[in-house]
Amino acid sequence: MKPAENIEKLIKNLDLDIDTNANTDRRILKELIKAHEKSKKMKSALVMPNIRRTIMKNPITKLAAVIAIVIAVGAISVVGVNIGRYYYYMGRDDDGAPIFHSKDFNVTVTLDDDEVTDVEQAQRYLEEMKILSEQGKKELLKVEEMMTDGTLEMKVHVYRYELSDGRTIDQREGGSEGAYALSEALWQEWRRLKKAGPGEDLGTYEETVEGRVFSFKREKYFLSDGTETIWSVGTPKDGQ
Amino acid sequence: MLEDKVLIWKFKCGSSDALCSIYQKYKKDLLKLAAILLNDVSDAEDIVHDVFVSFAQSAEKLKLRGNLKSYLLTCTANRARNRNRSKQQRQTAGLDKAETIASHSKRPEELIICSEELRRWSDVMGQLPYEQREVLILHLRAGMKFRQIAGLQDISVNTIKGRYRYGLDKLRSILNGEIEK
Repeated sequence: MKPAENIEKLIKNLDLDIDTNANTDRRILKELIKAHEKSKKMKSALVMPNIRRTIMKNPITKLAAVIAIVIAVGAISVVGVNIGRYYYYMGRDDDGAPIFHSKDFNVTVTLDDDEVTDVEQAQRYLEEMKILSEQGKKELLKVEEMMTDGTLEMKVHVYRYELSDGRTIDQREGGSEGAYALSEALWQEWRRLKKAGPGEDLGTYEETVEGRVFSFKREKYFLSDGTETIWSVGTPKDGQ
Repeated sequence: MLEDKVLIWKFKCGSSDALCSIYQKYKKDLLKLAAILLNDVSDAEDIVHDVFVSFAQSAEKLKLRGNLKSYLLTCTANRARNRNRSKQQRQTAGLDKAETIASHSKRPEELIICSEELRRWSDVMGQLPYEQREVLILHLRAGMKFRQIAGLQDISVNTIKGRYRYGLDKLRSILNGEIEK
């Protein structure tokens, strides 16, 4: 009888050579490519990715979504210019959402949906949204605004785009006009507070945005360093 | 690993070249595993073909937790197990008897090129019950842990360890006198 270790070692070290010949490889590869192409066509027709919204964020600081809009984009108009074929896929963020970087790495778009797996399709959507944005074919759904200690921290417009395939995508666009006040730690703290529940209710006010009257609901939060943040969310008063 | 991640990313983006590279990179590992599990190179070729076709169709659904090689080896082991089951059922029903012997001779055109060592070991392993053979091969050749194999087959780790021990004992008695210490 041979010790078990010998048998284990023998099996581990066996030089078991096997290979397919060139003809077999060609045949299989042909089939694989055919199957792959077929699945791509089916996917385009049937399994459209469900993009709920896109957000812009700074790729280096990895700040949370809205703050990052401020850093990276700088102005609302930039969004429309930058979205498009200059983006390429960079993998996924910690939440599993696909990330696109712009060619110059100034802007990152994160498609906020785990279900988005078709990166090329997502890029096509971004290109189409760029064109629609330039044509003004987008609907303003919501305006979000943050004030820190009385200064405008950021302002985001949420637009809805209706794409040629019937899909609608809500995209957050916006930024700040200058430097931002909150550090990442404070930003995260504010997000936690907001997630935990509504802040102090400051009532509502009305404002006309892009020719429509929006009703803004305001909430106040105090951060640990004493910073006062006021978060306002405006929705169309006509309810459309 | 990084190369695999790039390949997967390209594949998911629709690159057929990436798919071909994955095939070329791992086909031999998959063939080895399937051939020694099934004791039949012809079946092994079919299994590997099926694994890759299924993989090619799954680009948009593919979400790998581990590495690509483990994923493909697991797919191969699963398909080999299914193939073995259906073969056993057919044999029980009296169909294709005596077909479990390595069928290299069935394919004179030699679609698969394999070493004599593999043929010999394929025959030796073929004398073990499939369950024991599978555990031995997955553990010793594919480098899978008992826990992983147990998860793969949805049975307890102790059962897997038991199969491994029995398989090793049986193999030892088969090989007794054949190998030098």
